[in-house]
Amino acid sequence: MSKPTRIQISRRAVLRGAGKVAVCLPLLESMACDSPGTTPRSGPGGGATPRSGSTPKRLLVFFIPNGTITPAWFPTGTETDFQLAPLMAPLAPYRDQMLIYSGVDNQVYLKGIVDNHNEGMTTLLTGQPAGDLQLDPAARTIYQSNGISLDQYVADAIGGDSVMRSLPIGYEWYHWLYDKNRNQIQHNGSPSQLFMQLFGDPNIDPDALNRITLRRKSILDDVQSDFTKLLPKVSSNDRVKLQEHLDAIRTLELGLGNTTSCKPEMPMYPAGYPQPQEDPNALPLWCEHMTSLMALALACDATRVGTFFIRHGGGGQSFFPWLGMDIIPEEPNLPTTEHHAMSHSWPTQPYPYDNLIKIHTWFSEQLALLCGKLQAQDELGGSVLDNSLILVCSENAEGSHTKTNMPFLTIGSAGGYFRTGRHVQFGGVPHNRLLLSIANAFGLDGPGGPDHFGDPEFGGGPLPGLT
Amino acid sequence: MPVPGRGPHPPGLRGLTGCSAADNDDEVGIIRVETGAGCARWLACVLVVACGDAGGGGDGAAGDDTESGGSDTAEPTGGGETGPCDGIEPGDSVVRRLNRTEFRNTVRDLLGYTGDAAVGLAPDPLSFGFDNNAEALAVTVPQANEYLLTAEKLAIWATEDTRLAGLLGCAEDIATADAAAQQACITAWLPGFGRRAYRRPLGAEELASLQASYARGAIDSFTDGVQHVLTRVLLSPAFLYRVELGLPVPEDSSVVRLDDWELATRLSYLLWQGPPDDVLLAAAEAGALADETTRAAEVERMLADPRARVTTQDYFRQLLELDQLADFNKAGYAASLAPLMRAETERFVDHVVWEGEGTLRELLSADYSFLSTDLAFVYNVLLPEFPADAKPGELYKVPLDPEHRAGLLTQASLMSILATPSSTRPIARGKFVREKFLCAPVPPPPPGVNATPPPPDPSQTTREQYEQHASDPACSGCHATFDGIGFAFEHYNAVGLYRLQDNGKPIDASGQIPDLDLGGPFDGGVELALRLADSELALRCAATQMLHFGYGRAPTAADQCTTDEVQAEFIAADGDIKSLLRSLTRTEAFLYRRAGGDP
Repeated sequence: MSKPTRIQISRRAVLRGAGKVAVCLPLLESMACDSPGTTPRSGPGGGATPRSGSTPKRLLVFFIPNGTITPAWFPTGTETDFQLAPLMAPLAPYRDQMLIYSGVDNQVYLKGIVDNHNEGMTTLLTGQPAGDLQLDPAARTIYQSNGISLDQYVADAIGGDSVMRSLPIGYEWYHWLYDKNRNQIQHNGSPSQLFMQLFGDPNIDPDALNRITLRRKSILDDVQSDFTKLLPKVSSNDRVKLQEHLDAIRTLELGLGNTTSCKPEMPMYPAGYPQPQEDPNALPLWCEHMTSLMALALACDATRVGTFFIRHGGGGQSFFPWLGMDIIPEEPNLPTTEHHAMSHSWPTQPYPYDNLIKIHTWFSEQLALLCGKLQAQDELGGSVLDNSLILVCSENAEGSHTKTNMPFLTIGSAGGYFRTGRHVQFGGVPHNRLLLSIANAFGLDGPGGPDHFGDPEFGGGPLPGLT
Repeated sequence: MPVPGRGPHPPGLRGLTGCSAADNDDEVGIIRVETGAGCARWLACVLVVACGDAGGGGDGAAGDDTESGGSDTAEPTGGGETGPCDGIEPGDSVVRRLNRTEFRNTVRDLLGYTGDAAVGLAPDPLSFGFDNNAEALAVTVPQANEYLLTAEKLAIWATEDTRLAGLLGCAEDIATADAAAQQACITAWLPGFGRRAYRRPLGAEELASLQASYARGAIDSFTDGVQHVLTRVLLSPAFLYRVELGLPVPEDSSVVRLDDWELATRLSYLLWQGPPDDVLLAAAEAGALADETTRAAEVERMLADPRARVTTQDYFRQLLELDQLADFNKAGYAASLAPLMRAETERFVDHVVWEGEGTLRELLSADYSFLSTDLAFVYNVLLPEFPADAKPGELYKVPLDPEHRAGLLTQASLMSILATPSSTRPIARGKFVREKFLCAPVPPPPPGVNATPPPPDPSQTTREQYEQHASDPACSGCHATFDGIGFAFEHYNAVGLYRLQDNGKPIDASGQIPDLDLGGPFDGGVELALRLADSELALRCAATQMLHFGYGRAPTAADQCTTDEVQAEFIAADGDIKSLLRSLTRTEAFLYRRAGGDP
């Protein structure tokens, strides 16, 4: 299969580190909020409990590329008495908090531009076709969404007072998160930059930070007035674009000075995380750092919505040398260890199976790592994990781009909203309904109403039987 | 994947099931992909639009209708006839945010900052390969934060002790002067600085507002006051966007004409990807740019400026996707070849456009290139062809064998980008040429198609391994439209080295494309390139691509008249690229825009 978007591959260069060898670093567990040296977690309002009066719910989305290996993913047994398949073995400790879904399809993707890979990403969290339907067809591309993504939608509702309204983490960029204006949201890839954004620059004292915040607000006030004076003068479609920018500035300004009372010590992160071809241990190390940082951010209530993205699906150079697989690039008709290529070759050719299992097991392990760190953070209602909802998903069902019986999984009950510990089976329902169910867990209807999330053609309300 | 074309894009398959066989139509071919065990599980019609004749594609509704568009609803020929293009037709546009390249250049010219001012800004979204699409460029909350941090950083840099007085044009000791002197300095500085920053004169109210910004910051210190102003200016819409209000056109209330300042800005960003210089600003101030002779003279001056060469370099970087050379990884070839290949193509393009023939034909057919000695082996060029004192890493113009080389398409850069670590990617090569040089995109394979190659057979050539594309009717309908183009380049291996055999067997580089007029069957990359070099299809496509880049939008149905005009001029100019740039400054789309919407 050809690379879906050679254009995007070069974006790796944006996140490529300095190429230095990674230093062995202390894990972030010692930086938890209630460990010595940090102040106890408190809500953004400064009180012991967050503004809603109860422990906040969190939403996370965890992405696995290139679908799954179906026989190794779906459980056997009954709804409540089921046996986890091999790829879920690392997640066994969280079995009671899981809902494993069968028979959930991505159906909306057929309504828009289809190129057999990218539409899976664009449609996944939006439930909308790919290709901006408001534009002339000649101007539509597969990276354009027709609606907001689930994470941004929930973040708009619950993320307002957080230091970061949402926390998209990604080792590389991809097009799957869209704000309410259908603009793509970028990933944060640098743990050190992210740490400072969440917890402030450790080199600046609080008084200085306060002065800087006041000054920024003053400047942004001036800038907003520049926008406001301009808006009535421009054409209506210019106004839409400028208004979106103004809204972003407004939201930014409102968030300025939001802090968390956590004051963790900043770890010594490496200068960069090279590609596996240069340093096989870079990506696992990045995952270690970023899962810790995500857990810390959630525990400290610095954010309530996050996404975790390690590798994109589709053509590329996705290798896993740290799993014992030498890098064998993709060539026509020859065995390779490139993930995407292997995901296509199997099951027609048997050779990739073991490697695919290794790769997908590793992704499950990273997910388990994250779950463990969330579970280790105690708070009212149990642990952060208990109060969270992690949506695990992929852009395809299998490597062949099929989109029926997608590998959807949720971990966490969202504070008791979902009745977990079950394998729920459906007969081919649109995934929009799962997105809606999750929105409901956060007290929200769909963006267009209670019946659907995304494209109204795929409504019917939330999935039955989850609560 | 899709590229600017003049017709509908391949619609989602769901919308295609109702389509019917086409009338025999030069403009639109409909290919029926049958169900078959191997390649497809869908019965679908796939629209393949041929660039070429004027008109057609006027339906524009293929993306969301259940009936296929195309033949039934195609408009009669548009350009050049009375009717649709009589009035002022500027097309649809939306206000353009500076992209990262433009931001970098603008900050450089405004503040003298020579670093990468855009380093902290998110990558620009690509639309059809270009990073300056007005519709796609937006600002999210995280980006607003990036702009804030960037503006602060630049303001701090610009007001550092050694720079402050120079920035303001005031006395060296201005930071420690008395308040009155400092105020006088600011009052003298603001109008000129504001004019350069916002690319137009500031009104009294605006100046007063900037003064107030200064005063707020100056509570802390003079420098803080200046930083406050600078940070605000760098975040303001008049800086970050190319705002166009226009002037009324009495004869036609649906359009406005750009005023001199707006024209100056359009000219400078089109040709320099940066702000107007003082000469342009002075011309705007004098109201001289309304006159087309003056404008044309300015265009000549700007084309002669080195910044125009940087702009065309950036254009070709994006069109040819040269950044992909960063992923160069070839079995048996050093990674150090990649920057040399890139430099070759960049130098070649620059030479053709600015020093050489200047035509598309030359780009596609030239029998020379600019090689370093390390790259010579790829082209089978012997060292005596180089000067005796040739230094490694330097580029030298050398003649190439015209039997084996013709312009861009057979260069190492493109052949390498469109290859795996050790074998060619003819399918990708075919697609690339169609999309970039013929503006005839390829529809995707139907979902779920089993694209697993058969088990490896080292006794086959690469072409033979793709045999199913030709023999299986479920595949051949689509693949016949581009495989042949890719196979034509089979003589050029994964780094562009010319070879006669593949896996020990002679290479078959012959092909024919059924849906496009390329002058019949061809054999080999050189013959194909030479056909393209003289083809109307390629000329039209090159004009369309440059229009997309120049105007920051994929040409839509509303741009039909403009596209036709620019294409016709480009053909009449025998494919001269500088002429194409000149054409872009003369269209109604450039001089006007839609009056828009009620306030």
